[in-house]
Amino acid sequence: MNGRARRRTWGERAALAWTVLMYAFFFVPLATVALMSFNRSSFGTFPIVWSLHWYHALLHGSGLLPAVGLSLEIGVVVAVASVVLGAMAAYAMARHPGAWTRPFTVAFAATITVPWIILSIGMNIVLATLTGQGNSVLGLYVGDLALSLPYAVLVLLARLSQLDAELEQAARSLGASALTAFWRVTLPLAAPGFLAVALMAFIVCFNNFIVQYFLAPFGVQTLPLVVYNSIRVGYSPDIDALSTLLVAGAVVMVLVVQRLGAVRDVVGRRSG
Amino acid sequence: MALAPRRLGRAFIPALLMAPTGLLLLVMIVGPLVAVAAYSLFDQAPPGAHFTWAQWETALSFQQVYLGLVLRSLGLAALVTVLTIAAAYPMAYALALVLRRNQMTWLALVMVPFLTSSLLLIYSFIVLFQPGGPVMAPLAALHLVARGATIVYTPYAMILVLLYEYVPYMVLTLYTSLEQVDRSLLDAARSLGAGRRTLFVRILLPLSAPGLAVGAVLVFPPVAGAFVEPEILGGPSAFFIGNAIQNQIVQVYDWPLAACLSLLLLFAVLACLGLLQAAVAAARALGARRSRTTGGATPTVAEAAS
Repeated sequence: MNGRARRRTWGERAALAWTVLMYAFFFVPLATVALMSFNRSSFGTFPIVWSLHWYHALLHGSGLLPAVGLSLEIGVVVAVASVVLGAMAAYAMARHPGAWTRPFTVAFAATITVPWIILSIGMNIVLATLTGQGNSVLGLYVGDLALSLPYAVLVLLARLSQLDAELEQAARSLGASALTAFWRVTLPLAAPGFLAVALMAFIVCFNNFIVQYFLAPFGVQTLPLVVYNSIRVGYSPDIDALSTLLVAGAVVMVLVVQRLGAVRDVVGRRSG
Repeated sequence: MALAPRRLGRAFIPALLMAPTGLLLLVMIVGPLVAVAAYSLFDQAPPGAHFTWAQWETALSFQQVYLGLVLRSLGLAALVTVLTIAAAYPMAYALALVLRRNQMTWLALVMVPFLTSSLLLIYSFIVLFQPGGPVMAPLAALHLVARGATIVYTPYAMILVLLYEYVPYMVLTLYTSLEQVDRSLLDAARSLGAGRRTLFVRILLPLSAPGLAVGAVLVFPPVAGAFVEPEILGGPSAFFIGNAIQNQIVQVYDWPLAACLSLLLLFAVLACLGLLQAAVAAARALGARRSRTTGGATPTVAEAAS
């Protein structure tokens, strides 16, 4: 452990080389888009004529911004709702376990195995039956929340179960109310998990193409829907500019998560 | 006297805390599944719907394309899952057990494509490989490919983009399994003369089996239901059960048949996951028996570590 680092075996070197290739596979397409976003050409042609034109176009009069706005709004609302509702449920399951907790855990985990295309179609039918409209903006919020909540509960449950319940009991025995104990002891200790859940829920909603595709009313565009529609038309450099900003945002987000030591909490969610 | 309200409170508080989540999932997860099941038995969308087996007869008929499409989708999902594991395993191994510094930073970077909208990943792939784009233009200039040639709009592009979307999931889940492996365990096994194969089969594989299973559960179902990647990138021949469902909804407006096909897809996916689970359980039982009969020390240590 504290001896000199031994030489790497050939297998280990091959694994490292493969890893470098995979990082290139991950980042070369995104970097290309970033590069093209600074190219004045409308058709992505070379040589590159450097310009901020597409960023200007993105901010003034491109149809992308309202869609980004709606996606941000859904993402933030659902993230907050997921953390609050997820924390309530996870707290109940972690601190008041009983025969009922196991079926809930299984049910939350089981929702992960259902392809979203099926749930989206079913949600449309349910919303049409309950509210008379299968496609509505309300449905975007509720549908995204329903998909992110099981993950939120499971991640928070894992976090809360790791925490020592005795700390909370100690606070209680020293006279703190249940709420105070939660607020002053449990919450700060579980904070990285909460942040990870908020980020996850935000990302799930922000990127959730399938649910939005089947639930968005005609004429309402979210970010994934706008990108979907314009990909089929052809190349549009204002998407390059938007994509570059979003990837930069993702990098910042990832560094924040990493700083907080919450990388492990984020691992295990999915979208698709 | 003092006990009764307290006991009541004990049951009441968790119920109250669970209520919003439970209610939402009842209406928006269980409800949709029930609704899809009901619609698959209707002759038309309500009102005025009548019970019929006609949708199922259509979906399960050998004269129709749907059974074949389900098989194609499962085949695609299996292929992508296997390729994802093949691409992700060495990477997770390198991140968890080879790198000595900044592991978390590198791992965090894997999350960037994972946090980026799949539509933007598809888009960036198209920008990179479009005819006359940064990859194809130089190749065409060198006369290596025909002018205007591209891999976009072929099944290769579709599979590559699916890997682009799902390899990060697999890396992250495998990493969490592999990071539990004690490096000194590997060093000890090596110094005792264990070959690469032995290390992999006796230590790494048993310890990463849970991660592989979780990764497969995260990758397989969405790929089996994928319709965007085939539609945008796969070219004219790429048509899967997800595309058939999408067509029934947005073009034909035949909701009962779409519901029936979605349910068929769900059953197929669940059957595959069940088979996978049975296979993992069988492999584990076999491994346990083998380590008992040979009395091998390594798996015991590995099991203790897991």
